[in-house]
Amino acid sequence: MTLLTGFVAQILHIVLIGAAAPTLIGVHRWMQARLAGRVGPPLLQPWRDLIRLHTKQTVVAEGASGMSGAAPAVCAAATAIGACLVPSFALGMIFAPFADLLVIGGLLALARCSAALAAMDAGAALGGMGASRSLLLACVAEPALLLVLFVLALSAGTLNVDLIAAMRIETGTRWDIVLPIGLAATLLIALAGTMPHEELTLEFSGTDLALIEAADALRLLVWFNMIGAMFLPFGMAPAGDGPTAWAAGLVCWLGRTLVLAAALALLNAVVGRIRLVRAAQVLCVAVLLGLLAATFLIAETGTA
Amino acid sequence: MVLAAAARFVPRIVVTAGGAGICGVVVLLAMAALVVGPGMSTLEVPIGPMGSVMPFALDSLAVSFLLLLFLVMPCADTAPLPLAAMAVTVLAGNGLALAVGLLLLGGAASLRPAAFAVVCLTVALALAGPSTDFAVMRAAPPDGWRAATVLLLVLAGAGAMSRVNAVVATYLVLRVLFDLCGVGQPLWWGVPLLLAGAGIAVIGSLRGALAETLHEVLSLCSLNQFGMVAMGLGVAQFARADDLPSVASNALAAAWLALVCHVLCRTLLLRCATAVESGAGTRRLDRLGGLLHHMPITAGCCLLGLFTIAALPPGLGFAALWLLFHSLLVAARVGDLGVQLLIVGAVALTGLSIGLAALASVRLFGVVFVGRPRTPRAAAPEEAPRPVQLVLGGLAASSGVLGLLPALALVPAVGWTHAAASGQWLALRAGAEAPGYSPLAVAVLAALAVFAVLRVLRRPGEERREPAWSGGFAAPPPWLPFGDPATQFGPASFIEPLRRLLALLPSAVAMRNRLVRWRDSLLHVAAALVTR
Repeated sequence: MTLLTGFVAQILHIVLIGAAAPTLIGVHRWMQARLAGRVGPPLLQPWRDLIRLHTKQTVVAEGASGMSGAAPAVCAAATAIGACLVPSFALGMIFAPFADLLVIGGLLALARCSAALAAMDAGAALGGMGASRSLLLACVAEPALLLVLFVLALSAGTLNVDLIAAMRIETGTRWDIVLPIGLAATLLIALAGTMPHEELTLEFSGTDLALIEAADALRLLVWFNMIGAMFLPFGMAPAGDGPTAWAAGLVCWLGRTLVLAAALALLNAVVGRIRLVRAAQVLCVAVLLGLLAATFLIAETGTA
Repeated sequence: MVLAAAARFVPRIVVTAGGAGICGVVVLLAMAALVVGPGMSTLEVPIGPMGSVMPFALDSLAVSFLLLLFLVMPCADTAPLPLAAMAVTVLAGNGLALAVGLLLLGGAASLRPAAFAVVCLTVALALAGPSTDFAVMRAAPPDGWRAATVLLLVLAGAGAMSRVNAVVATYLVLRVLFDLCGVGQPLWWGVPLLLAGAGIAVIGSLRGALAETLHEVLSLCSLNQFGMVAMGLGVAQFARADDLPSVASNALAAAWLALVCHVLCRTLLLRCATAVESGAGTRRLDRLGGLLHHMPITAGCCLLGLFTIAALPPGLGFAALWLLFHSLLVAARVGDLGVQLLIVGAVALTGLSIGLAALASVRLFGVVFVGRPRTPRAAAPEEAPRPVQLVLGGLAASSGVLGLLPALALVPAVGWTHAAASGQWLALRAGAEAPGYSPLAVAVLAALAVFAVLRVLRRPGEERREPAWSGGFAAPPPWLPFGDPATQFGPASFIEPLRRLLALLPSAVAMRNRLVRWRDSLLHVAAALVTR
């Protein structure tokens, strides 16, 4: 029975994130436009863009190799698997045993590297610049991410995001000093990690561009879901529960995602575009916060 | 040995075939020893001065290293003499045989680091016990200041030896510090190992990201994994000192996986670099480009090796990272506050080194294999010859298979890591109950997703080819058929942002310049006072 509900929940989860990711981008853009005093595009505009791109002919640079065709698919696939593994409204999905946070981070890194390689394939200057920038930011983001995962795993006893969320629901989240610092660091990493690099998408067209944009949208949703599962798993249906609990979990997930999207839009409206050096500084702050959280956690468990 | 002596007189093909044959025999023998079980067999060879004998011993540690060396080193085109010297080193049963093996290896490769290592090891073994026989030393491990000196000397020797061969260096550390000095050594023994590992990983990746030739980038980047080996050994020492055998075996397994990954990928990548150099005529990154069109096999193998080194799932490097992270996690609960903070620092530095290795890998592949050619010579490279392709493909395939089934890579080392391999073929686990990391599942999911994306969304044969937009530069002149190479992002421009970030750090040079400026201004003032 648990297996069956896990399977159904997994299918529903995949359908949900597939449907929600482009819509989330639409919601985010609409909020940004409203905050700037404009009417804003329709919420489903990213869906229309994706469909339009998919029907268009693919134009490839003359010197491009097979990398241009394969890498966007790998990028989208790696991000999509990451998105399948992070729980949204219910725990105990059938892929839950594989939902190791380190693996999810690794899948996002794989997506980043393949997008960068694809952007360099055409041999134009801007693609290389985008690749260089996104990987440079990743250099600073990786230590911060590993530190946050270290803190989470030390306090929860596991790196499996499903088990972490289940433990938080069961025992209640203790909002002492460690978790808020960890949450702050995670928010900063997510902010820099979901920053769009327009230079990376310049060389693509047609279905390839649609894949890269879908991967961007999915990455934003993965980060929202990860923040939710790691720190704020309110209302997630526990493993083995049925449709009623799922409905409640769905409502909570919707609320959480909308709040995070609104916060991101507000931040974008206030701060505007984040420059590369500023993003690197933000990530350095995230590293420091991670170090701080780890130190506090160790000091706390050491004295306890 | 005989083969090595004969190598000058007989044709190369005979040497190669003979070397391959001997390697095959040794590998078969080692596998047989592995199957037979954890017994230790010794052999006393009557050579040496005044009727003394050189004992050789084959235990589980020696078997695993022998297997690794003789499986991978022939692919690196190692001559018979270094290989024989490595075998002598690994099989040595006392200090004398160990020193002879190291000196032979040094004589075959480069003498100075080997001689330094031999001096260090000789002093260390002399301090460690009354006799240099390994069995006697195991019975009476050193303690107190002797143990500390032994640790420092062995680390210095292994550090020097790692310039010659990383496997032998790791073997020295494992043999002397972990086997001969026993389990009773203090906690702080892990600290220098952990620090050295983190330093090697970060500095290696950073220098790899900044390097300018193929061979430099590849050999420096693979230090990322070698640093993880040292960190794994350090964590294992923490766990052993705190009497946590399961954690120690996890950490040792992580170190072994990282070592296998390092050796395999380093060999693979350096062979790829050599193939590129002989095919395209240069090893400078800024003279290559677009090789994927003409060297698809070399490029594919190189890409696999780079992704493995950069610890991307589902590769072997990621499996090593996963195990190391989990053992660091448990080790953070033991020891005192200083050690725990050190572990936190090591986690951050591991992340930094992975990020830098990913940057260096993408830079290398993006500059050398994709994009447009930067010189006419790079526009017409030749694919590596068929035998080299076979070697590259074999190395790449084995690193891929071991990445999917890391338990397979752990099997030879079970005797000394004591990592329970039974029933865990598909996944790596940190604890008995915990859901682990199953690379096969990740790979199957990834393959399904890529297949779905390509099959459902792609319609083949619909592409249109257009010239790439050159970013607003003027059209290239007719004698540049591949466009102006200067309008591409090159190896130097790729790391320009990194250099800017590094320039923000307080550097020793800047400090020295500032001091020099202060000194000059002081002298200026003094001179002005004196002349007045």
